[in-house]
Amino acid sequence: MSLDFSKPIPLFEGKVSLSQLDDAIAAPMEKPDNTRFLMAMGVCSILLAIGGASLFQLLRYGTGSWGLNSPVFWGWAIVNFVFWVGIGHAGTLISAILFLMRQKWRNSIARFAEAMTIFAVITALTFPLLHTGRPWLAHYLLPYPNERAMWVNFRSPLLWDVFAVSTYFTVSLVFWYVGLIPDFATMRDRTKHKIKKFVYSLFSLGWRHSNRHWQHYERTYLILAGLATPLVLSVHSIVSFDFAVSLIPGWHTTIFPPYFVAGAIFSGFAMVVTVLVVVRVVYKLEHIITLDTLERMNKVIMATGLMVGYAYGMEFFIAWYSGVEAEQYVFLNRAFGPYAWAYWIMITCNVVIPQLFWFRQVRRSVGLMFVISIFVNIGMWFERFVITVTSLHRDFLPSSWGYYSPTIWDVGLYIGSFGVFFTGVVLFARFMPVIAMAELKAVAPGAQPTHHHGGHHE
Amino acid sequence: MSKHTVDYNASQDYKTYKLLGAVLVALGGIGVLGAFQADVYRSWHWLLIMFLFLVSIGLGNLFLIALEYLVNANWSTPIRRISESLSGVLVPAAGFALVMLAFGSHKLFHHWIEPPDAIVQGKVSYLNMQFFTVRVILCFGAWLLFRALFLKNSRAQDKDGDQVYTRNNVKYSTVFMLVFAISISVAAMDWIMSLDPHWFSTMFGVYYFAGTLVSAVSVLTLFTIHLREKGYLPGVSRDTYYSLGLMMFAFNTFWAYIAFSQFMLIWYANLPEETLWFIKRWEGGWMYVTCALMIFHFVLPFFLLLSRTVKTIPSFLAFMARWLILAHFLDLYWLVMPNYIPKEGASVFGLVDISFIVLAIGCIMLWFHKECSKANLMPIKDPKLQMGLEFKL
Repeated sequence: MSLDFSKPIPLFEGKVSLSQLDDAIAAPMEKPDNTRFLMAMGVCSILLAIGGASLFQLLRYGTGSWGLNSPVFWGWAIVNFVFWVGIGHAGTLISAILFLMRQKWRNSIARFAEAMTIFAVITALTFPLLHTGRPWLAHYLLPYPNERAMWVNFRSPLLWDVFAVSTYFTVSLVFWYVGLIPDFATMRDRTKHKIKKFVYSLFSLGWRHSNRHWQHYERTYLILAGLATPLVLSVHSIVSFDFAVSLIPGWHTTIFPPYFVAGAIFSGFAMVVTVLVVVRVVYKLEHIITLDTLERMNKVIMATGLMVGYAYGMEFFIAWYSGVEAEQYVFLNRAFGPYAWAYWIMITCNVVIPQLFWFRQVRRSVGLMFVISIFVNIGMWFERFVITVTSLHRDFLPSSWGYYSPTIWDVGLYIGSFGVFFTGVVLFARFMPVIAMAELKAVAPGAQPTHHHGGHHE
Repeated sequence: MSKHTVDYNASQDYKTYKLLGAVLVALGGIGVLGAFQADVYRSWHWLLIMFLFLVSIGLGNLFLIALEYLVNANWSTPIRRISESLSGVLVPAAGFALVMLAFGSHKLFHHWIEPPDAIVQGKVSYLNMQFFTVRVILCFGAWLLFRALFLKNSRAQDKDGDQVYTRNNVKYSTVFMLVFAISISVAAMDWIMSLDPHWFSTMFGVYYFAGTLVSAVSVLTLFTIHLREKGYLPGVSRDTYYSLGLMMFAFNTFWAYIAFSQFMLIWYANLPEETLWFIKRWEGGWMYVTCALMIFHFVLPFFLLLSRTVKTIPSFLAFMARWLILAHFLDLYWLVMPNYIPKEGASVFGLVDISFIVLAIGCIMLWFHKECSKANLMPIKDPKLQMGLEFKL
C-alpha cells in the first residue's frame, strides 16, 4: 500500500462516531478488568519492594552502600536521574511543540505521553535527592532567606537543575491537568456511581462544556503550549550543563545541550512506544491510536537517533581535531578501554538498531517496534553510563585510575525506580481517560464545521 | 471561482527582479573591484562572508524543500517553487568558491597553509589544500545533484501530476538529510572554523546551520510576500504568512539557544584554547559588534515577532524578514572578520563593505528570476497543492 499524497492521512481507522469515541475511551474506567489491574499492581509492588529494601539500606548506611569510590563519585544515581528525566521529554514535546506545529495526530497520544512525563520526572527527582546523602534536608536546595543564614550557590549547574526540573514538572502538571478538566466533566456526566461522581465533579472544577469555557480553555492551552515549548529544550540543556561546564575531557564539549535534548526526545518517544503498544491492545484502542500514528513516532525516533549519532561522530572528530591529548585519550578509551563493552552496547542500540526504521514494514510492525523501542531504552541508559563513568574513571594522574562497578543496592534502587514509574502509569490507566476525549473529538471526522471537500465543484 | 485550476502563465515576467538584480550586481561588482584595489586581505574576507551568505540562502532553501517532502507538509507546497528557485543561488556560490580556492586561499587560510605551528601540524592531514578542495567539490557536487533531482521531479509533475514524482522526492529527501547534516557541518568548519585553526567547537556546524535556517526562511518570506501581494500566487492565503513568521521566530530562537549554549559553556569552563575565540570578538571595538549581534539578531526580533497577529501583517513581516537577512550578514561578519588583522587604525566597518551585500542581493534576484522563468511559479499539479491552498489557521 502506498500513500495518496493528495489526501490527509486519516486519524482514525474506519468510521467512528463521537459517542463511540467516548465509549471506547471510557470503557476501561467503567468496566474495568480488575484481575488484570491487580496483576499489574502486583508486579509493580514487587519492583517497589526491591526498591524499598534498597532505600532502607541506603538510608541506614548512606551512599557508601553504592559503588561510588575515588575517582568515580557519580555513578548509577546520576545515570538513572538523567535517564528518567530524558524519558520525561516526550510528553511535553508531543503536547506542546507538536500542538504548535498543528500536528493533529498527536491528539490520540498526548494524554498518555504527558502522564508518563509526570511520572518519569517524579522518578527522576528521587535520585539526586538520595544522592545528596541527606534527603531530609532537601529544602536547603531552595533559595529563601532562612534562619540558617545559608544560601545556595547560584553558579552551580546543579542548582539550575533544581529550578529547571521543578519548573518543568509544574508546567507539565498544569498542562496535563488543564487538558483533563473537560474529560473529568465528561466522566462526571457519564457515571452513576455517587463517590465517583463526587470525585469527578471536584476535579472538573464546575466545567459545563459551555462556549465560554471552551474559549478560555483554548486560550489557556495555547499559552501553556507556548510556555512549555522552551522548557522542552531547557531542562535537558541544563542537565547537560551539569557535565559540560566542567573541565573534564569528554564532558566539556559545546554540542552537549542540543545533543542531550535530541537524546531525551529519542528515549522519551521510545518509552511512549513501548508502553502505548501494549495499552492500545489491552484497551482495544487500535482504531484510535492507529498504526499511522505509531509509524510517525517511529520516524521521530529514527530522526532523533540520527541526531544523537551525529553528535557521537562530531565529538570524536573534534577530539582529534582539537589536538588536546586528554580529549583524544578519553574518546579512544571510551571505544577501546575497559568500558568498551558499554560503549558498543550504546552504539549498537542507539545508532545501529534504529536504522531498521528505514523500512516501512518495520515502522508499521507492532512487534518489531516494541523490540526496537526497548533496545533504544537500553541504549540511552548506556549512553548516560558511558558519559558519566568513562570520563571519570581515569583521572589525569594514573594514580587516580579505577574501575567502577555498581553494588546490589544500586541495581535494587534502579529496579525500584521502574516500580515507581509503572505504579503511576498503571494507576493512571485505571482511573483516568488515557486519551484526551475532548481533543480527539475536535479532530474527528465531521467535527469541523468549515470543512469542505474538494473535487465536487466541476 | 475555482481554486482547483491554478492557471499561472509562465510567460508572465518579473522584469523588476531582472532589472534590479542586474543593476545591483553591476553596482556591487564595481564596488567590490574598488574594494580589492584598496585592501586585498579585507576584501577576500568580505568575499567569504558574501559567499557564505549565498550558501545559506541556497542550501537553506534546499533543506526546506527536503523538509516539506520528508514530513509530508502541505501548507508550504504552494510556495515551494520559490524555495526551488532560490536554491539556484548555489550556482553562483559555487563560482565564488572556485574563485576563492584559486586566488584567495592564501589570503584567507594562511594560518594553516603557510608555516603551521606545532598544534596546526597535528591537523594537516585534514587541513591541507588538496583535501580542502576535494571536500568543497564533494559538498557542492552533492548539493547541486540533489537540487537537480528535486527540481527535475517537481517540474516533471507539472505535466501529468503523477504522484510517483512526489514519492521519488520523498526518497531523495531522506538521503539528502544525511548528506546535508554532514556537508553543512564540514562546510562550516572548513570555511569559518578553520580561519582560526587553533580553535574548535563541536557545536559549530549546528551554529552555522541555525543561522542558515533563519536567513533562508527570511528570504523565502520576503519573496512570498512580494509575489503574493502582486497577485502572482493566486489562492495563497495570508495564513501562510503566519506559518512563515512562525518559522522565522522559531528558527531565530533556536539560533539564540545554540549561540548562547556555545558561548556559555566556553566562558564557564574558561579554557584558554577555547576562550581565545570569544576574546577576539570582545576586544578592540568588537564588543560593540558582539552586543549588536545579541540585540539585533535575537532580543529585538524575539519580542517583535512574538505576537500572533503581527505574523499575518505582510508589510511588517516583510520588514522583519529584511531585518533578519541583515542580521545574518552581521552574524557572518562577526564570525569571519575578527580573523582578519587590520592595518593600524583600520575601521571595523567601511562603506565599501556594503558593495558586497549589494552584490549578494543582486545575485539572489538575478538567479531567482533565471530559475523562475524555467517553470510555473506554483507546482500546479502537485498532489498536495490543493490541501496547501485550503490551509487555514
